[in-house]
Amino acid sequence: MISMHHGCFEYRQKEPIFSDLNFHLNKGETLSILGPNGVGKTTLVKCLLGFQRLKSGEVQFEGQPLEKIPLKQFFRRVSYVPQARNVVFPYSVLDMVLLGRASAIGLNARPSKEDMDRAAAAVHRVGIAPLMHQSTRQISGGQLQLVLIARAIVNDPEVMILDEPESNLDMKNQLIILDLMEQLREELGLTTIINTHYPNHALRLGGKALLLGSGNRRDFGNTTDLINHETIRTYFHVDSQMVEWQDAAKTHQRIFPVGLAKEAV
Amino acid sequence: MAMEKKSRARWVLPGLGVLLIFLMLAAAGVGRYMVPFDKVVSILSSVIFNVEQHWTDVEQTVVLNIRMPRIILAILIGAGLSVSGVALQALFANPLVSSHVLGVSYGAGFGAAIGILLSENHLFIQGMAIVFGMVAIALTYSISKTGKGTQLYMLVLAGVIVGALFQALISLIQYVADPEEKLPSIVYWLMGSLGGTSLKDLRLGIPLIGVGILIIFAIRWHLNVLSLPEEEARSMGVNLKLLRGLIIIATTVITAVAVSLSGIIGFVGLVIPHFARMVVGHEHRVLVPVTILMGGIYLLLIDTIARSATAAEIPLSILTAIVGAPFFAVLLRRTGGGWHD
Repeated sequence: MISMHHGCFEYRQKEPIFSDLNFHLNKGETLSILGPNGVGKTTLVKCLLGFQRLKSGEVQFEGQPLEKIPLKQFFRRVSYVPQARNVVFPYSVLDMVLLGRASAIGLNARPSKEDMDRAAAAVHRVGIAPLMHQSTRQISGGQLQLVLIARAIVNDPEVMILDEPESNLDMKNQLIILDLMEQLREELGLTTIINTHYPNHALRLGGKALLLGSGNRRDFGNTTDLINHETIRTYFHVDSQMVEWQDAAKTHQRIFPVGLAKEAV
Repeated sequence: MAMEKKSRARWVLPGLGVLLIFLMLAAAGVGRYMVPFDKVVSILSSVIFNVEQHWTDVEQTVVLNIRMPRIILAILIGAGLSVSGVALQALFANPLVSSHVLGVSYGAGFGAAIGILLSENHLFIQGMAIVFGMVAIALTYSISKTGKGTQLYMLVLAGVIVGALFQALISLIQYVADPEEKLPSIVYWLMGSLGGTSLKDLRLGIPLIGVGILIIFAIRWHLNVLSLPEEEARSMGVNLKLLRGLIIIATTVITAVAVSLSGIIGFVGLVIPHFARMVVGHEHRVLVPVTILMGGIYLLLIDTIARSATAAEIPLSILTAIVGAPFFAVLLRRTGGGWHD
């Protein structure tokens, strides 16, 4: 579905953020991108969305190089959820979600009944129907993040790319976002790429993980294989402890930071 | 809150429309030569319908040939500058910019100053204003252009630079201009006035400013998209370059032509949009038409006061602020800036 081949990016000459980066994601799979601050997770997401151009290598969407796909088509199938920040102009929740339909609305046209219905359905789907007509400045950060997710699913996309959607939220709201991501993944068959600071969220979402570290260190593979106390020490310089438990359905794993790693890695 | 404001728009818009028409009729009667309201209505309807003449020829000339062109122009300029403010605020995702931000008004002002220095021909002066307005935007654009395309903050900074340059050049021209004749006319001209507006000015104003307003009106829903942070806007799958280009062209034409007709009028492009935001909220599908009407009404009121309050004309740029500032100051205190919710 979406893949990177020998991706290389640098802001300044000879100081690559990442180079020769490869990964491949099949339809319906989930990819969690993990790594310490400043390692280029957000940059990588921007490259996947075409906001930044790779210095070399390419991003492919269904085998086609990203640059060859018309913008409109691409963004109707691939949607982007930024981290919720303050909004400059506080539109209502419904108006904000409606913006997701922009590619389907002519330059001098206005949203049709169908556009409105789709937007309302998306608001319902993420579970914030009572906020439909509230100002996006009067809702909480967690609710605003849900609005942005609603906006991202309004076109029934195939891929959803989220940039740290849960970073600024409290525990409950983090769980709401994760639950919703799992629900959407199931209902819509979404291929999901998420940038996250939390290895536990990657463990919970399952699927694939991409670890990014300093010095162009990286690992790509199944989340459960990839996340353990050794990789956490290598990538985050943190000692950790894995906890496992079982319920009827499956085995769960979570990893907890214990302290800063003593020895230099 | 957002809902209240949106449903409020349902009566705000027709209300403003009716108010504008009423004010147009009233303004056509007001002035040093008063014409009663009913006569104004009959004179105006006689243009289209067959009405038996019960007014003097002088009254007809005053209403049709002197006041109406000026009224129409005041409305167009007020509407144009205000809606330019809204469009640029969306473009820069910043509620604090106005039509001055790209340096166009000062470029146009400089053009007019040169025009006055070189000639007394009204058309030549207007032409110079428009040409230098375009020169200013071209300069702003080329300064802001980098290898990676045009960044918005670069555009703002370049606009500030170009604006400052042309402001200095205006001062320079005033400094070297003949203080007996040229200097006063440059100063008066820049202060702004719609006095002496003729049908000829309408031929310039209606199509150019009108088209600018229409462009912004047509793409008004997409202004919502444009006001998102750059990458979010891009991910909505819209043609950002085209949208931005349209707005820059429309606002440049409006601003340059407005300056060429009435000097540099500040205040309107910043305050009217905010007043409109306070009443109907930020959603541009509603905000744009409301701003257009409010801007038109505001400048019509100001211009009517300018020409009828005292025996001599009061310059527009002075009056917009002197009348507007206290009004909006009270409004700001009363609402506590509450329109940002």
